[in-house]
Amino acid sequence: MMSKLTVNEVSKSFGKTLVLDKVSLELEQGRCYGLLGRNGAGKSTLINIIMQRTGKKGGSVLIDGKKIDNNDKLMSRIFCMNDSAIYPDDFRLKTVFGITASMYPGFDAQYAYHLAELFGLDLKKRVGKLSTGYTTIYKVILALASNADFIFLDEPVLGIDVNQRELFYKELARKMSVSDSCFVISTHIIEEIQNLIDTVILIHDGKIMLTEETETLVSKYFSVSGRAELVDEYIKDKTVVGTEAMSVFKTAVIASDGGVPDALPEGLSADGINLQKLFYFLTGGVPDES
Amino acid sequence: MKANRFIGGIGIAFHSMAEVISASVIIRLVIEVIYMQILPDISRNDYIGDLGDKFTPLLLLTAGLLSCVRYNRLCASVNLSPFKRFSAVCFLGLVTAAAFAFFDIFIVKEFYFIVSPREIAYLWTESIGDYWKYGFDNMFSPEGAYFFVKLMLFYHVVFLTGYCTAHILSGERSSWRLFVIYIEVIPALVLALIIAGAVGHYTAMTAMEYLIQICFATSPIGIVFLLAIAFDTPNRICDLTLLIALTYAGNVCYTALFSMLIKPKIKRLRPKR
Repeated sequence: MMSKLTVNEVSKSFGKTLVLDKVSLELEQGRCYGLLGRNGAGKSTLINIIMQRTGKKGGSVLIDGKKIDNNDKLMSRIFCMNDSAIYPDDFRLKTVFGITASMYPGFDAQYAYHLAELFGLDLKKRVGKLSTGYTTIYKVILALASNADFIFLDEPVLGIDVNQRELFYKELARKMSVSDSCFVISTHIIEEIQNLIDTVILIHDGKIMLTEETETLVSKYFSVSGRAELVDEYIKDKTVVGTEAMSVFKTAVIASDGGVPDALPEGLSADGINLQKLFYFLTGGVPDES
Repeated sequence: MKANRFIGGIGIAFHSMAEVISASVIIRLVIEVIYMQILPDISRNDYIGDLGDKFTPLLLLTAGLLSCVRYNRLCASVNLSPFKRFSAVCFLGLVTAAAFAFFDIFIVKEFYFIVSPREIAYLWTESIGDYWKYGFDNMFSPEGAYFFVKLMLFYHVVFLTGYCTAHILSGERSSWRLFVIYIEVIPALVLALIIAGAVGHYTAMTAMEYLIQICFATSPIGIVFLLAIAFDTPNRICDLTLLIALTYAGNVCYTALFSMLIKPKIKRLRPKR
């Protein structure tokens, strides 16, 4: 039976600032989620609450209906790769692998060594001597090899070059196809993960803005481009998510259940929209300088 | 192989604390050698109960303080629950305390005829003077073993005091309710001990003492013991009254500390880059 991790009305504040406001969501094993949001939206705080690395103001986190608070058995079913998971600088990577293997029942050491070889990671090196990219890589390897039921990847491509990023996505896709683990990816490079994630969870200003299947979500919007006056005329009676002007041209993103329209007024062109662009508009775009 | 997270936790504690504890052992040995060189035999008795025997608690307190952050970071990396985290550090602390107690009693005392923890001993059921009466010739005698266990528990408390203080000050999330319970429970036990002593019920006294020792062995309030030691009062009832007063004072201080510092500041765990 596939397990479920439930976050139930969790709130969190730092001082007087409310970072998370009664956030609820459900994560299912065997699926891949994209946890998206702008800087300071509350993504990392939410992950830290699930991992019990920080306290919460209210609510609960459950796995299959059981609270994970101080329950080590349930906590061993979750793995999180982020920047607060830090091994001491003087530890060799071999030791790090050994420690993780001793703490995660499903840790696949052989696979970890295979990945290390694939990424060109020298296991004799000490953690403190690694570059930013390799620091991320060794954590990614631990996450992929952990075989935990719920794997959180917070900024998994931070500082990694394009070749190794491609390798990571390939390995992640392969892993997802053969394991029942639930992957939650939190990243700002949305374009690259669009094809990997099944469901988008969008956090904005400490609240869950939407939770939807990736394909369904992007199919609900389209963009219209052309001269500004033509675009303005066209979008008059439409639900506009956002606009972007460049010189005399303008692009508008429109919500529509019917997808990209077949017929448009002359001088306008319509296209589908990718997840990154949609995220940009849904979360407010950039402030208008004028 | 099935991963046992408690044993894994002890392994992590060992990995993160080994250097600090090894350094403490070396410093303790160096201090001892220096004292042996600079103190003539005749002044050894003055050394007893003065600076010499205060080094071990101080070293263990520092070791506990220094090893906390490193250990917590490692535990966060492998998602070890707060309770197991604390259990593992308690276990390793006990092993460390045993090593130091062994050193202080059986090495220092037996070979150099120096008794380290005179002030410490009177806080427990019998004073060090009583041990002298029993004789301490055989280091494996029941009295010796009894004293060893008591000293070990005291050192354990000191080590955990350092660890817990650093833990609270680091602002990281912990099972703080556990600590608060101990802070509330210990004064009640001490009070029961005084009453049992007053009515002459020695079995109850012993039982209470063991309960207190168990509580202290897993609580941060052991610092109160260090303060109590500083007051060299001869009367045991006076000591216990002082102890209960200090425990309550400690209770207030720690509760205040909790309310101010318990809010987690996960940013402090970010790596220095």
